[in-house]
Amino acid sequence: MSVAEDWGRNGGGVGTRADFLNTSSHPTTTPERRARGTSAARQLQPTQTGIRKSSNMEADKDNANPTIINPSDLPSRRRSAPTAKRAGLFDALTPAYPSLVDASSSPEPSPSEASLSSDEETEDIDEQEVYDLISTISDPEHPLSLGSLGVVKLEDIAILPPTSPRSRISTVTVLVTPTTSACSLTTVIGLGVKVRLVNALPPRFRIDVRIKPGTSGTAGEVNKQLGDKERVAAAMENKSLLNVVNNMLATCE
Amino acid sequence: MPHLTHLATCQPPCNTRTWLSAPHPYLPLLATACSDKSVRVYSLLNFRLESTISGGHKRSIRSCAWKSSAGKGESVLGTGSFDASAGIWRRWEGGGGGAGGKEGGKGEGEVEVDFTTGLAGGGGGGGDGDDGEDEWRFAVILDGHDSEIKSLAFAPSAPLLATCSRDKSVWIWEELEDDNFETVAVLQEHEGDVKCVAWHPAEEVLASGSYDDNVRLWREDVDDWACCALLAGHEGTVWWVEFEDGNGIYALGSQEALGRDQRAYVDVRLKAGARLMSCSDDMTIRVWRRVPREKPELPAGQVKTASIWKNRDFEEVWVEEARLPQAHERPVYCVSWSRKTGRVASTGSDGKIVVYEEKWRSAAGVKNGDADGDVSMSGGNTGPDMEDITAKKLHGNDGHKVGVTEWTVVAEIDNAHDVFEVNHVIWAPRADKGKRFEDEEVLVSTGDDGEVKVWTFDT
Repeated sequence: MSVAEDWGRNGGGVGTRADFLNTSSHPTTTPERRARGTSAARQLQPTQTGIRKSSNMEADKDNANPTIINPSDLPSRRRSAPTAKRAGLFDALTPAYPSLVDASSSPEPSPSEASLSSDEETEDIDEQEVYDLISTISDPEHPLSLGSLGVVKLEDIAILPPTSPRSRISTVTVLVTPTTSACSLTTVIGLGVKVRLVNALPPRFRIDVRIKPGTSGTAGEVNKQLGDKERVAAAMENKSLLNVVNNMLATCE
Repeated sequence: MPHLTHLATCQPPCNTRTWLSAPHPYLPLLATACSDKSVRVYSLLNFRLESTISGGHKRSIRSCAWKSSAGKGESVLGTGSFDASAGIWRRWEGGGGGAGGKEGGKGEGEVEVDFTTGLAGGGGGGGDGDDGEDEWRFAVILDGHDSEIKSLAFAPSAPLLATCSRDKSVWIWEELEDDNFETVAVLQEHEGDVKCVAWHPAEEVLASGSYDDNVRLWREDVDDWACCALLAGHEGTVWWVEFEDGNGIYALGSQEALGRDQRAYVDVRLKAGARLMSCSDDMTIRVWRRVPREKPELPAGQVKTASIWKNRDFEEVWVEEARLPQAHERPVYCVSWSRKTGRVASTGSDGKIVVYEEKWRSAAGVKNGDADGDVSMSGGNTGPDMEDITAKKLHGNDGHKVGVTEWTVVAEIDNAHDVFEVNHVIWAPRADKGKRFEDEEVLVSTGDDGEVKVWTFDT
């Protein structure tokens, strides 16, 4: 059964036992960093072009000969000197709300804020860490990582701090570059990235996964699906889709 | 300053996402749709779990709704699931066990005992009690939708149930007799998932909001249900629609001593009937009003579209009357329009709960209202496409269009469910022993953290 078929009529059928919530025991997730709650998720609908192609035959792949980046050229904290840490676009903004990073040092932490600040909230997460979480995801049609295919890039990851002193919610924005402009698996790739980050990052992060502007003709449609909480939630209760995503995430540490 | 105060969190919470909570039409009960395929029924007397409904659905329960026209003595709950089916559940409420379900007048102590019994089973499949009469019975399953059901609603008086789905359709079911449901309409004009449905409080009119960014209104034309109005304008998925109470105009206060414009507006409102509110992924909340039919022709300048209706009078014109002040920074998932006070509460992805009030705009626009800086330019920031005859009468002397009423934010709370998204908020009658006055309401919020929280609004 192709993935596309199952999406089309995922409402009924067999395999409805697949419960997205059970995936927390999957080795690719890091439940210990996520206190509670589930990832956002929604139903992804096949686009008009759908996923009709068999991934068994090389010639049928959307992009049979992708460009592969040399592993030594991929951004990595280990391989770069400490001083080479990229000056993040938003680094200058981060100290705007010090209470979020370290509640004890903030000028006037309200009792509730202080008590709510658990360990996970004191963690400082940067773009490189987000990159490390998603660059090892496998492409659904190639035995290659999204990092090596250039689908996810360090410079296309942004972390936005809370928009007001009262808010504790940060936003992680990831722009995904499809391997070809017609890549019909873009939605699945985006879903994999989203699920990976929602599971791995603390719940105070909102995860916005979008297609990099100008790289896909169906970006608007894909972006809307990935941004739709209900669709992603329902998608992760679809066994076939969940299997595809789990296979993509199986190569993550 | 008015503010929201956390009163209680329903116990025990669900350990996965909860989507929506619906207060019982007359009992102090709250049904919460959970992603663990169950519905938790909490008591509004003590905020404890009263019973659990499970076993009927194969995937998350996204939505639940009480049948308000059900006869007293029996509760009827509808559930809509990602498994594409809707379930109808029944329970006798008058039986000896009671399970806290008796209306008013029951001693707190007695109720406590029942709840403790219920808790002992802790969500063990909905059959905790040994008194069979108190149990939820799975009465019927409604199959038909091709994919996830997102929302469902029983009509307030007619024996009608509406369901909507990712399959882009709205279904209307008629209950011919108990548990015998017949499909009377499959409405397919939406071009994307239908996210929500809501019935008009006084007319057999259904509203739906969609992933196609539009709101549509539906009613029966001769023998067929059809779309009678398209409310376009949102720039993102419409997550929720809700009508105000049929007597919503009286929330503005006394009808005495009104100015000329205000009287004209009251007149229009009385002819227009209940307004509709919608909230969206575009972070706006909009108020829509029917344009009363005064002349046979459409207003001058309105582009006449080829009518596909059998009956020209069938088509309705609705205009965006106002936008609430923008208080959310992420998609707005839900609004609740109090039937008692006319106050509106909203919530969404940013985890905030915001409460708004509508008042007469002060004559000069400089008195009281504008002083607090939170005043919305009700109707003042919309394009020419919302022009209508009645609105033109309300223009200020300078030609700048100003609504005669204005919406203001009166209370706001951040991080209502810690750092989690809040999926739903609704006003419910207060029933715990702390109730301060007749008709007091509480706000009930439902979040991704699996918690259902209860808030008081203090003026």
